[in-house]
This record gives sequence, C-alpha cells and structure tokens, in this order.
Amino acid sequence: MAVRILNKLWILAGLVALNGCAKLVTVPPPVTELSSENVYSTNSTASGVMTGVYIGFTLGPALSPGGASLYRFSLEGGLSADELTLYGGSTNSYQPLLQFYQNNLMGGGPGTDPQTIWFDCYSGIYKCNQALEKLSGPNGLTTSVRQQLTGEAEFMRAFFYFYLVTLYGNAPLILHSNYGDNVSLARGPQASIYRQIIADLLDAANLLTSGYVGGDAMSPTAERVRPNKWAAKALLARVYLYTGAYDSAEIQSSAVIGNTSLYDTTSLNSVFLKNSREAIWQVQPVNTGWSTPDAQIFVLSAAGPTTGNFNPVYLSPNLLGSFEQGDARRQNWIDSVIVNDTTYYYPFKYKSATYNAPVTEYEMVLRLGEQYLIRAEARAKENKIQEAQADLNIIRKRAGLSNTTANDQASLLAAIAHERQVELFTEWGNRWLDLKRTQKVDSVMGMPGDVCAKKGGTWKSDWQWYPVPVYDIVQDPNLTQNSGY
Amino acid sequence: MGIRLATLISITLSIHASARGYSQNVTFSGKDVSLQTVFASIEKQTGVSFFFNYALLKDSKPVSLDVHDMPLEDVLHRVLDGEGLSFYRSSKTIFIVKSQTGNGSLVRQARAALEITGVVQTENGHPLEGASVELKELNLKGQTDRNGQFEFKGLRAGRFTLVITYIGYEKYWHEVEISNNSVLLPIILKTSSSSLDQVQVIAYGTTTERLNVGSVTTVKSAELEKQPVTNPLLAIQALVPGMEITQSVGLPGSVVTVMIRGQSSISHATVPLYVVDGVPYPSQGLPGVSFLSLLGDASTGNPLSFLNIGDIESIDILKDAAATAIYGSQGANGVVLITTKKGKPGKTRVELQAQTGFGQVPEKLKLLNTRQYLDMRYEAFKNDKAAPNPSSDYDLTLWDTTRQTDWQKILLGRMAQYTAIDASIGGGNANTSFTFNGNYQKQTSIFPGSYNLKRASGHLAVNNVSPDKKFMVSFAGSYSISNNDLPGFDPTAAAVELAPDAPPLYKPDGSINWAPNSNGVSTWPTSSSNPYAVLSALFDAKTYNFISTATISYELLPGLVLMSSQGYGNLQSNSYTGVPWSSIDPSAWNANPRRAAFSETNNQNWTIDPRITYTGKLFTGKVEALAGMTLQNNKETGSSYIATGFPSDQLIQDITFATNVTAGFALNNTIRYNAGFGRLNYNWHDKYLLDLSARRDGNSSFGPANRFHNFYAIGVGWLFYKNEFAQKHFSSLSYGKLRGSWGTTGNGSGQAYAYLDPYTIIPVGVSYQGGVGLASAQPFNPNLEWEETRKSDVGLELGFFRDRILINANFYRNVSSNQLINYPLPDITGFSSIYQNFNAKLENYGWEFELRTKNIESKDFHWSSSLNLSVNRNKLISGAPGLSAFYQRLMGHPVNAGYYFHSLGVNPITGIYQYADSHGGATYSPNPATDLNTLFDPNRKYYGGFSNTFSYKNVQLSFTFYFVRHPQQNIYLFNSIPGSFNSLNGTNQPVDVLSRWRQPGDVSRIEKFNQDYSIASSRTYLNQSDLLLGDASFIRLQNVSLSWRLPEVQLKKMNLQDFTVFVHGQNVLTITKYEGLDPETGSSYIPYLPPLRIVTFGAKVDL
Repeated sequence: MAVRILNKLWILAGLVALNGCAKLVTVPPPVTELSSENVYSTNSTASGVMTGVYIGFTLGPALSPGGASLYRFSLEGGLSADELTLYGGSTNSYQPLLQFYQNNLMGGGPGTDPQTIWFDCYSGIYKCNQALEKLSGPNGLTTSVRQQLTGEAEFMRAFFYFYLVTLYGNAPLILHSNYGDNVSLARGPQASIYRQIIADLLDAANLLTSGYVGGDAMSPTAERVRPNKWAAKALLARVYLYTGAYDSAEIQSSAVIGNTSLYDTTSLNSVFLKNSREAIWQVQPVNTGWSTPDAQIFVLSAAGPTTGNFNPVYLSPNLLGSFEQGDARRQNWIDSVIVNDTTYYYPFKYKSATYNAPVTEYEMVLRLGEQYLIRAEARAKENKIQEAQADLNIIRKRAGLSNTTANDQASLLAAIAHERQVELFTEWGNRWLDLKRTQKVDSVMGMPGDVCAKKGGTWKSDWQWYPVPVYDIVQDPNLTQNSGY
Repeated sequence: MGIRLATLISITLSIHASARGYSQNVTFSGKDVSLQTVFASIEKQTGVSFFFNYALLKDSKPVSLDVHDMPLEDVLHRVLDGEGLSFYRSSKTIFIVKSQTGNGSLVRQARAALEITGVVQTENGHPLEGASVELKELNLKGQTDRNGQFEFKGLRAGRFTLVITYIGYEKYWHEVEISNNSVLLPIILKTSSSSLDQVQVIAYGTTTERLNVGSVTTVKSAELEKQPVTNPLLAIQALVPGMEITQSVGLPGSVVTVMIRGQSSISHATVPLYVVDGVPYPSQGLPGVSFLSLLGDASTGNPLSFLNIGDIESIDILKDAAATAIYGSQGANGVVLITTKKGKPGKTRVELQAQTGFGQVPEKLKLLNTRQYLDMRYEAFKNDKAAPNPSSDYDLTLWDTTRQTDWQKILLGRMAQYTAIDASIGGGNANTSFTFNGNYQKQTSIFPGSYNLKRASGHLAVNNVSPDKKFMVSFAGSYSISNNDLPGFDPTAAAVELAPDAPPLYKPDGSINWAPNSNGVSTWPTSSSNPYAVLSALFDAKTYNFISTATISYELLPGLVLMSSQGYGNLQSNSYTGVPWSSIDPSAWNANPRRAAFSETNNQNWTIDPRITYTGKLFTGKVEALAGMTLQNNKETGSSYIATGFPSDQLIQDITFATNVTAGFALNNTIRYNAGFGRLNYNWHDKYLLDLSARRDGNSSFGPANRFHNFYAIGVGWLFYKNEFAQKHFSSLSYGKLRGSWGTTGNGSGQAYAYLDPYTIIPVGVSYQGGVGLASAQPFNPNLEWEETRKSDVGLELGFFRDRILINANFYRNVSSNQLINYPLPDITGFSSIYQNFNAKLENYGWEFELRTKNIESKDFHWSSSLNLSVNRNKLISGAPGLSAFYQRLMGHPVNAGYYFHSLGVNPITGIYQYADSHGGATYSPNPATDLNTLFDPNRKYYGGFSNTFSYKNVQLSFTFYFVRHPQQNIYLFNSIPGSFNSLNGTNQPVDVLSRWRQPGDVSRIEKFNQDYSIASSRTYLNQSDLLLGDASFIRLQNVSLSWRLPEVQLKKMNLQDFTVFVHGQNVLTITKYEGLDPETGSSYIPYLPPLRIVTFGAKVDL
C-alpha cells in the first residue's frame, strides 16, 4: 500500500515538474522598460532607436579620454593628416591625441580613441542590424514609418561601414545582431564591404522620404537632422567616387544638386548654420548650453590652446599655407588668437562656442559643397572638362576666387584636390581620406612632404591604416591585425 | 500530572464514570449487523476510534438498532449492555471491555495465555504511531500502530517492566502487573524537554534537531525577546554559527548585510532567501529618493526591520544542501525561515509587556582641541612657507579662535529614547486556537532635534481543526506601519571632522548661523555645511508591511494529506525628502532652488504552494514523503518625482506648489518562479535516516533557453548512540549522530528581465527633435541562467550525561560555479561585455562548532552556557578565459581580497608618505599597474558567540558575548590632510596626528602637516596601501538581560500567571584594538554612526 502510494506521489511530482511550467514562468516584457521585444511595437519608440544613434554623435563631453563620439573624427582625422597641430607636440600629455598626431597608434588600449571609433561604428552597426531585423518582422508600425526607419537604419549602417573600411581597411562584415554568431568573425575584404554599403544606400534612397521628417519619423519638418533620400544619394555619390564608379557618382550628385527646391550654396558664414540650405544632413547638439562639439574643441579662448582636454589643437602651417591669396574662406572660416606673442590659428567654420549662447549651428555631416566637388572630380575623371570646371568654379566663386585655370584632366584633378583641402578642412577627416584614396598619403606624410616628421614621428606606409583594437584581437581569435602594428 | 495520568490501571477498575460528559450524537439504522459495523459508523460520525480485543467480540450477537441523533454513550449502552460488554472513553478513543458482571469466561481465559493491549498518546490526546514498546523481563518488543495501539500475546501472569520510547518524548518506564487479559489505560508520553527534540522548522515542514539530517540552526523567541533591537537579524547576530551579520551604520532600520557560509558569488548577490510563514520576503529595500545620500536611509535599508520581533516564534537558518536544495534556485546563499507565533489551546491568556530605555553612542574619538588644532594649522603654514588666506582660511582669520566645541557631544551626544509596548491575547480549545499581538515601538535619535522612528504592528493567527482532525485551516497575518523621520543625513562625519573653533550652530535669535564672510557666503565647509542646517532638511518615510499566509489541509487517506498554502506579502514605502531654503546658505539660494523628492515603492509577493504529504510505514521504518509545486510571483513597482520651484519653505511638502516637476525613476518588474519539488524522508528505527529532496525550478528572469533547472540533495544520518556497542561502552553518551549531505542549489539573478536587452532613454540636455533617443545596454542573452553551488556537509552531534552537554561539529565545503559575470566580448558585436554564466569556481569551506551545556541544575540554581564558533575560508579555485586579470591574479585567494601598495611609511627626510615600487625602491607615486603587490584578505578569520544564563529561584541573568577576529582597513586617519582646512571635508583630526613628522630624521606614521595640498598626490595612494590595514577584531558584550519573576505564591494571590520585571542591555561594551569609532561599522573612510548602546527597563504581566 505504502509503496503504491509513494509511487503515485513521485509520478505526481514528476508530472508537476515536467508539465506546463514553461508557461507559468513566462512574464510579459516589462512595462516600464523597453527591450527589443517591445521597442518596435510603437512608432515613437521605434524611431527613438534611430534617434539614439544620432544623439551619439554629439553626446557627452566634447573631448575626454574614453568618451565615445564619432564626431571627434574631425579632430582625429585632422591630426592624422596635415591639418592640425597638437599643442605642445610630444609633450602633450593627452596620449590618444599624440598617437594620432604622430601617426603611431598603439592599437588602442581600452578607452583610447582608435578603439572608440571602431567601437562606436560597430555599436551603431549593431543597432542598425537589430532595427533592420525587427523592422522586417512583425511589428506594430505604420508603413511609412517602417519604410523611413528601414531606410535610416540602412543609411546609418552604410555610414558606419564607410568609416570602418576607409580607416581600417578590411573589417568584419556584420549584418545580424546575434552576438553569438559574431564573436569569432574574421575580417572581410574591402570590396565586399563597399558592395554592402552601396546596396544599403541604394535601398535607403528608395525608402527614405524626399523631405525631412521629425522625431516621429513621419511628420514633415524644416529640421535637417534625420537622413532623407538626398542624404543617401549624397553618401552614395561619395562612395561611388571612392570606388571609381565615376558615372554613378555623377548621377547621384547631380540628383542632389538638381534638387534646388531644397538645396543651394549659401554665403560662407551661413554654411554651418542650423538647417542652412547647404545642409543635406546635420546632427543636432544635445548637450545643455552648448552648440556643436566641433566649435567647443576648435575655437580657442583668449588663453589659447591647452595641453588638457580643452582646445588641444590649432591649425597647422601646412593648411594655412595652402590657401590662395584672397580666398574668403581664409578670412571667414579661420580665426586666430595671440598668446605670448604667438598667433594660433583655429578653424572657425563653427563660431558658437560660448556656453549658454543660443544654439545657432548644427554639426554638419553632409553638405552641398562637397557634392559639387564630388561631381567635379567624377566629371574630370570622365574627361568632361568644362562641366568639371563649372562645378569647381561654383565653389571658388563663393570663396571670392576667380575661375579655375586648370583645363586638362591632370591639372583639373589637382585643382579639385586642392579645392577639397581648403573647402573641407577639419570636416570629418576628409583630408586624411583623400590623401589615402588618391595614394598621396606616402608622399605627403613621408618624403618629400614629410609632414609626419614635422609632427615628430617617422612615417611608415603601413600607418595609413589604423590598427584593429588589441582588445578585440584578444577576444576574437580570428581577427587579424593590420601589418606594421 | 503526566505521571498520574499514565498510571496503569487494570481492567478491574471501575470505569463507567468516565463515560460521562461528552455530547456527540449518533444516528444509526441497521438490522442484524455486527458490532464492528456499528463501531465503524460511529467512528465515521464522531471521529472517535474504538479500541478492543477481537476475542471479546467473537461471541457477540448481531444487533438491530434504529436511533436518531442519540447521545453516543446511550447508543453504546444499548448495543453493549446485552453482550456483557462495557466501555470507557479516554479522549477520542473508546475502549471496549468485558463487563465486570460478566460470566465465567474470565476465569477460563486466565488459565490460558494472557494478552495485554494498550494505547500510547501524546499530551494532546493524539495517538502516537511507531513508538517502540518493550516488556523488559520478557525481552518482548513491539511497536504501536496507526492508532497508537500495541499488544502483547501469550503472556503469563506477573509483574513486568513496560518501557515505551518515542523520539521527542520522555521515556516511559513503569511496572505493570498482569493477572488478566488487560487493557491498559491510555499511556501519555510527555514531550521531551531536551533541546534536541524541540521543533525545527524546515522547508515545507518541521522536524527536530535529533532527526534532522540537514544543517539547521534554530533561534527561539525567548532569545530574541531579550534584545531591544528593531531588526531581528541583529538579535541573532552572535547566535548562529556560519552566519555573518554586519551592521553598516548604527541608525535603526539601516542596512544589515548577511552572508551564510561565505561569499558564494564573484559579483552576484550573496543574501539568503528570507521566508516568513512560507511567503518569500524581500531581502533588500527598493530605492527611495534622497538628495542627501546616506547609506541605509530607511527606504533602502533592510526590510527585515519592518517585522516585529515580538511576533516571531522562531528563526531557523538552513545552511546545507539537505536543508536548502528544495528551495532550488534560491537556496545557494542559505535560507532564513521566520515563523510567527501561533495560537495555543488553553485558557485565554492576556500578556502585557512594556519597556523603556535609552540609547547613546558608546564611543567617542579623541580629537584635537582648539589649541592643538590651531597649532597644527600654524605648523602647516610654516611647513609650506605660507600665510593664512583671509578669503579661504576662515578657521584662522574669521572664526573666533577662542571657541572650543566638542562637536561629537553637540551632534551625537544626546540620549535616544526607546519605548516598546507589547500586548497579546491568545487561547482556544483543541479545535480552534488564536493569538493576537499588538506592538508599538518608538525610538528617538541621538541627533539634536526631535527625530524618531515609530512602528505600530498587529499580528493575528487563527487555526482550526475539524473534530475528526482531518480538515485543518490556519491563517496568520501581520500588518505594520512604520514612520521614519530620522534625518536623511548622518552627521557623524561632521561631528568628528569639524574644526573645534567652528562657529555656533545658531545665532542668538535661534536662527541658523551661516557665519557669512564679507561677500555674504557661508564659511562652513561645504559638505558638512552647518550640520544643523542639513539636519533640518525634511525626511519622512512611511512603510506599510503586510504579510499573510493561509493554509488548508485535508487528510485524504490515513497518512495522506493534501494541503495548500497561499501567501501574500506587500511592502509599501512612501518617502519624502525636502530641502527648504532654511537648510541652504542664503548666498547659494539662486543656484539651489527649494526642492523635494517624492517616491513610492511597492513590493508584492504572492505564492501558492499546493502539496501532498504521506506519512506511514515502509518495511519496518517510517517514511515521510512530500510532493508539491510552487507558483510564486514577485512584483516591484515604484515611481518618484523631483519637484523644484516652491514659493516658500512652508509649502515644500505640497507638490502642487512646485513650478517644475521631473520624474525620478519608474520601476515595474515582475519575476515569476514556478517549481515542482519533492522530498522523501526515511527513518529506520530512529537509527538510520535518509533524506532525498529535489526541485525542478523555473525562473522568469533567465533566458528562454535556460529557464528550468534541476536541483537535488541527499542527506543521511546515523544515530549511533542507539547502537548496542555504544550503549554498552559509552554509558555517558546520551546522544550521538553522524550526518552528511550533498547536493546542489542555485543562486538566482533576482533581477527581473536580466536576459533581455533593455532599451533605455539616453539622458540628454536638449532633446533631439523633441523625441527620446534609446540605447541598448546589453545584448539579448537567451542562455542566462543561475549560478550553482554544490554543497557538502558532514556533522557530528554528541550528547553526554543525559544531554547536559551537547556538542555539534560541522564541516562543510561549498563549490560555486557557473558564475554570473560580465564576460568580455569583442567590440564588433556592438558591446564590450555581456552578463553571462561563466565557468569560474569559488570555494568556501569551514568549520562550525557549538557547545551547549547545563552546568548546574539544582533545585534553585541553574546555569547553562552555549558557545559557538565559525571559521570560513574562501578561495577562487578556478577561472576561465575571459575572467578579468584582477580575478586571474586572485586565483587561490579569497575572491574579495585585494592587492595593496606596500607603504614605506613617512619618508624621514621629507615627511611625505612613500610606497614600495616593483623594483624594491621607494616612490611617492606608485604605479597601479605594477606596484599593487600586498595581498590583503579582509575576511573574518573566525567569529562566534558565548552566552550564559544563570537563574536562582526567581532571578535570571543572561549575557551574550560576540567575538569577531577580523582584519580590516583601520581608519585612524581622516580623508583630509592634517593641517589643511578642506572646503569639502572637515578639518579636525584625531589626537594621533600629534605624533607627526616634524623635521628631517623624525620617524612617524603620520606625515608632516600641510595646508596647500603640495603633498596630496602621495596621499591619494594611502587608501590603497597597507599602512591602513589593521585589526578590527572585537569582543562585544552584545546583550545582558536580568529579570526577576514574582514568586509563585504571590502570583497565585494576585491571580496572575506571570509577573516579571527586567533590564535589557544591548551593545553594552566593546573590547577592541580598532582605532576608529566602531570596529563593525568602521570599514569606510567616512565615519558612520556606530551602533548605539541601549539599556531598557520593563515589566511583563500575564493575566
């Protein structure tokens, strides 16, 4: 009897244990906390994810060790190239900047800047990947919002991969959010990354709205702080230029330039104002009391540059010397301060660097001026000399300069390269990327230009690629380091 | 009393008389039925059981009967009288016997072999099954059956010794004379008075220390009630081996940390599971809001302080696998079962107790007086070749340097009042009993001003059993309201650090003295400000605590009981902090608007535990089986608001007057547990014990792939004192048990949705396009699961001289694996780490000893002692790739150990602290990457308690010592450099600094006086150096209690059950070499309020 009852008991216990428990421990997603399970269920939270990506561009202290913000690439790219001088040179105690300055990056211990760029890009890519997965699955979004956000996520993924491939060369191509699948990925070839960038941008250009939309990814607005169709085309034009698809570059930049109802060149001092007609895509500063972080970093106070975390750089003689006589940009986009009889010149594209002053400027990411220069270069490559001259002259005219005298492909390409140097200086590392893609980096950084030596380093050709962070090489055994590191 | 009842009476006694006085009625209708049928029907209707010898009924004739609602005894007379039979009744058993007026069959039977039968019962009249019964001289042995009955057959007439034993009851030993077939009167066994046989509460049931194979320590209410503390954990501080209880600040209701058998997790919680009457109870408070961040403000303090100690019947601490595996994922850190008082049958009793007393800070630091302080400051200026700056060195240039204030006296010197009133009423009968307790407590503070902590609570317990004892229902509920307006600020740091010449707190007109400089800015150091102003910020926390459990059970078949417990608990806290302008320097009003924070949190738990138990026999042993499931839900909700812009200080408590209200936090978390569990306990002749338990546990906070896990344990026990060899050779051995257990338990996350990838709002100054930006902080982890602790435990328990000496030695080894750690990920995944399980292993092993003795037991004088000692060692035994370098380095050492710089003391030439670098040289600025080379283990080496109780006639004295051997950072220096007037911290120093370095060649442990911070950089490493490592061991007279009970004669005269007056003292005396304020709370650089010394007087009356 007892044995029988006991048997029944254990059977019962077994049933209880095996049965149905799974349902009982299922808890609906938290109501005060969002997760990937419910963040895509409403328009406002779903668009908040992409807004979070844009906020990352300007969030936090403008310059601090370990801070994470990609916008700082204007500073770091400028230091890597020949645009900026690090105050105090090798005596500057701000190690990460010194490494950029002397082109000798250490592979990035935790929190140093080369690691920050890598991390920021991949962290952004994760968000875009997860957004794309969730946006294509079942969700509660309005169709137009789903389209717009899918376009934004594709655009941003392309944007991050653009900087990874141009700065590090080969890089792991990650298109899904599951960390388990990604922990041991190896680096993919540059060509496949560019292919992915172009595919993403083409799709984004189809999906994104032609106008600008607000924080809800739906209602029209004058604020140019979310990417739209034209931003996708503008970035596409740049990528086609980088990959040598000049006809495509010309088509895409023409589409942007042709949209005169939205875009036009403006006077020099209006270019960087918020929502200027020059702006294709800007990001809005989010720190209380401050306009753009670029202004915060570059605009020197009466005390001049410092070795600390504020104002560590000023413009290099290289850049100052490259302006033509009478270039209005030299007057309007550069300012100076005299400290102890030394004149320090600094970028003055963004002018609002006073705490609590009204926010008049937004951080410019893509602008029409660059599109003219892209089209000029693409056309020159295609031997459309006159059209190329015309594009170039639009930029020169605005700077108060006469039409270009270059009239053959070689001289015109040189003139465009020079124009890019003085038009796009200290903007998103354009100079550094141009030197690399035009194969000028060795002759400028090394002999005969020998810029690296002037900055206190010894140039090695391998250094045109930034090192993969050592931290990642330790964690991911399939990740290889760039040569020379 | 017991003896008298148990006296054996043979059949020949007259017994009819006892058949009177019960009034159960019976309905029966039947023709020519056997007597057994009638009895069975009556058993069913009334719950009585019949007891008879079958031989008696053999010759009985069938009866016909048709009665309706007739009293039981009348029915029995009708059916028995004609059969020559009679009956008598004891409790619920009816004995059928031969009528005295019977025929000659008695004589016939006397010549034949004789039989005796009997029934064994408890004092409450319950039959005892499985008692062993022995007729000594005949070497006949037997056992009682389900009805407590036994019989011996084939006896000859004579006198024999009847011995009945049953675990948990005193041995019955009596001579019987057998001359007839006899039925013995019920034999009542008295409950054993040995502590080995007292009830121990275990998971989903009870046992006794004697029969428990698990490692469990029980503390009864008698111990708890002697201690005037507000948190029951503090009342068991010195009493439980293997349990480290530490108070971090001496404010009532503050944080108390608890660790059972060492730290089992590298980075996860080590708090035990608390269960009150079967309902899980929160171990940590929910966040409150406070601008004045104070460790342990009431809303984040320890929630156990909302329980009334007077309501607690016992606290059982479950430690090893056999005891805790049935709690599965929540059992790894041990389980603390709190059982509240239940009603007891008997005359209604009213108990009143009132006590009142005072508390004070037991210790003061010896600090510099004004003369010494000023000399220190001037010497610092001399060292620095500088002169005081009138716009910052206010202590020398603006303040009245002739003033001398003992800030410890002003800020911490008051007496706190302690008042507690308890009233209870309880009673009932065998079927229904109840108890109702009410309690009111009030404790004021030692700070200047009127602050207090008040609590009122009620506790009600009712239980009911059906007359046939098959259906049982019970309810226990408690509700308490606590009102805490103690300041949200601990002025202890200010009390020891303020300069002795600092200005008075008030101006002559009674308003706060800001002592402004010529610019109108207050000259008080910023962080301590005018301490009274900070104290005058408003703080108010109301906490409502409700706990209830209802249990119903039904005995389906004999031994098979179906039961279900339902519990609900709700801990709700509303807290308010307000900073009026009266507590802010007027010159800073512009930058600091009046502000207030409102928060509301709620922690709700419910649990449903249906289960089925079987108690019976299997082969020749006793078996207890349990199977059940539990469904448990824990929900935390809360929100807070921060409001600014109140137009005046008077309106600061009304949020509608605020011009700006922002949200603080919003909480809404649910964790659900679901488990099936079972336990099988087998007891073979009280000699061999086997205990198997298992649980399949599910927890919603883990990843969908790993929500379920199995936990199990096996425990065995051998009561070897029952062994003949032991009984023959060790006659003084009265008890001996060897037990062991092995099993697995888990440490759950306790954090809701830990596996999810939460998207949180990125805090920004200016919103992006007016919307929010979201960011995810961690990747989705479907594999997240619990940490696992494998526990092994061996115990030896011995009793000598009739258990007057009890020894308990325990060895355990717990290995915790599957550690939850932030595991590094390559950045390409989008994250640099993930919270996941990890194959690092952590070992805890240790010894626990207990010695309980009854030293003297005479008629008037009793003396008993108990001593416990615990030793725990912690070791990181295996790492895994990905474990941080910090922990890799600690491999083989305690997980909470750390590496420190080696201090080389003060450089005798320069007077500045210096440290050893990795090359053996000396440096002022050691390199954290290479020079952290001195390993320091901050764990307790051993700890324990020593208690004694003396009683002489009506006077009882007891005291408990608590001792801890404990290395710790010994903070004899403050954060500020001696000689500096620091605007953030205070400036006064302990008198120790007088032995500072003064000139080249001086050897001192105190650096030179300095006021311009030119030596500050070397100073910053001091906190990480071994210079401050010291000994915080202490012996504390934890509790003294003296009571006097009114003699029995007077009690009778006054018609009272009890009248006792008493004095209790808590934290009476501490012996330590520690140089800070208090060795227990002093582990931080900032001095915290030490535990108060509390003395109370009171009286207790039982009506």
